[in-house]
Amino acid sequence: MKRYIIYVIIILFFIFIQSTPFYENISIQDVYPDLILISFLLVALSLGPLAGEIVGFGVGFLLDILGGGLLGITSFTYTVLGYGTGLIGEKIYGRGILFPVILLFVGTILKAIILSLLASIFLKPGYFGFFSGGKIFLESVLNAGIAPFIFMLLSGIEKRVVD
Amino acid sequence: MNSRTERSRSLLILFILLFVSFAAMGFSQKKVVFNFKSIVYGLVYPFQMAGVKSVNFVENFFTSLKENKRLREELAQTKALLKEYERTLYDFEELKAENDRLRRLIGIQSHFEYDTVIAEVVAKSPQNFFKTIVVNRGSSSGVQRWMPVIAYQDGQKCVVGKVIDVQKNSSRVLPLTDQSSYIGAMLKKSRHSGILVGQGSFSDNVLLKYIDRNAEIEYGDPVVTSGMGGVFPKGILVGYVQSVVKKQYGVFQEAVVKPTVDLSRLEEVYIIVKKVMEDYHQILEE
Repeated sequence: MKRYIIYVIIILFFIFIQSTPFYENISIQDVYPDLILISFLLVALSLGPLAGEIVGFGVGFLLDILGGGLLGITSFTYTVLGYGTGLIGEKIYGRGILFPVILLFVGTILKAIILSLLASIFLKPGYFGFFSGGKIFLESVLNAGIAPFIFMLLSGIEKRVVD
Repeated sequence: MNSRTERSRSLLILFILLFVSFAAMGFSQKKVVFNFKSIVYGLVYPFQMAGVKSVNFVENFFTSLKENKRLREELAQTKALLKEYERTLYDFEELKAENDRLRRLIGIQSHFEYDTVIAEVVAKSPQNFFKTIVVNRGSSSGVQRWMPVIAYQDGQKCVVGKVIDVQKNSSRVLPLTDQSSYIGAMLKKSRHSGILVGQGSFSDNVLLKYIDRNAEIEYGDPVVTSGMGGVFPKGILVGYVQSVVKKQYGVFQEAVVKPTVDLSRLEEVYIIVKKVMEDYHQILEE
C-alpha cells in the first residue's frame, strides 16, 4: 500500500511540474519530454496490469480534466497503456537499464496512435495531428533518453520504501 | 487459479474503465447516443486513406514518367530558344557598342577646328616593306590625294599619315612610319623644327631629322606637326622623343621619336578635308 501511495505522489508531482509555465522552457523544437507518461509507464511496469490500468485511468482522467479537452481520451489511452505495460512487467524478468528506454520509445508512439484514432472518431475524421512534423518521434527519443534516470529514481525510492 | 482469476478480474476492470472513458468522450461531445456510423467511419477512414494514397502513388509514378518525357522535350526547346536569345543579345550589345563608338566619334569630330571625314580602317597591306592602310572613304566623300589623316587614341589627337591613293569609295593611307613618309614637325618645347621621316620595316619609331644642332632635346619631349609643307595643320601630336642622335660633325642632329598612334589598334581615322598643295609634296618627295 505504501508503494502505491508513493508512486501516485510521484506521478502527481510530475503532473504538477509539467503544468508549470517554467516547464515549457525546457523544450527542443517545441517538444518536451512527457514526465507523466514516463513515470506512469515505469510505475505500471512495477505494479502489474490491474494496478497499471487503474492508475492509468486515474492519471488520464485527471489530465483530461486539467487539460479541458475531450474528456476520456487520455484516460482511455492511459488505461490501455497501463494494462499492457503491467502485463509486460509480469512476463519479463531481470530487465536492465535498456528496457525502460525501449518501453518509453514504443509507449510514446503507441500513445500517439491511440490518441489519434480516438481523435479521428470523436473530433475529426482522419485527425493525425500528433504525427505532424514528426514531433512524436522527437518526443519518443526524449522520453526514452530520460527514462533511465526516472527508472533509477523510482528504483531507489522503492528500495527505501519497501525496505 | 488465482492468477487466472486475477487476470479475469483485471480484464473485466479494464473493459469497465474503457467503457467509462468511451462514454465520457461521447458525452463530452454532447452525443447521448453513440453514432456508430461515425465510429465505423472513423475506424475505416485511416485504412481507406492508406489505400487511396497507395493507388495515387502508383498512378503518380506512371504519370510522372510521361511528364518526365514531356519536360525533357520542353527543356530542349527552351534551351534552343535561350541560345537564340543569347545570340540576339550579343548582336544587340555589338550594335550598341558600335553606336556608342560612332556617337563618340561624332562628338570628337565636332571639337575639331577643321573639317574632317570619318573613315573606318577596312584593310591593311600585308606587305612588310610597304605598309599602307585602306579606309572606306574616297572621292565620293570629298577625299583627295595627300590629305592628312589623324586619329584619336587614348584621349589624344595624333598623326596617322597621308592619303596617297583615292578611289571612289576607298582610299589608301601611307602611315607616318613608312620610309616614304615625310612630315613637317617640331619639338613642342624648344620650337625647333625638322622633318619627320619613317623608318619602314626597320623600326616602328620615326626620325626627326634636320634639327638644329644647338637645340636642347630631352627624353620624352613631345613632337608635334609644324604646319610647314601645307599638309598637316600645326600642333597635332606626333610622338615623344626616345633618344638623340648627334654626330661628331654636321650642323644638324636627329631625334628618335616614338609615335603616339598605335597602328595595330587603329579602327577609325579622321581625314582632314582641306585643299592640298600638290607641289609641296612633290618637292618633299624629291
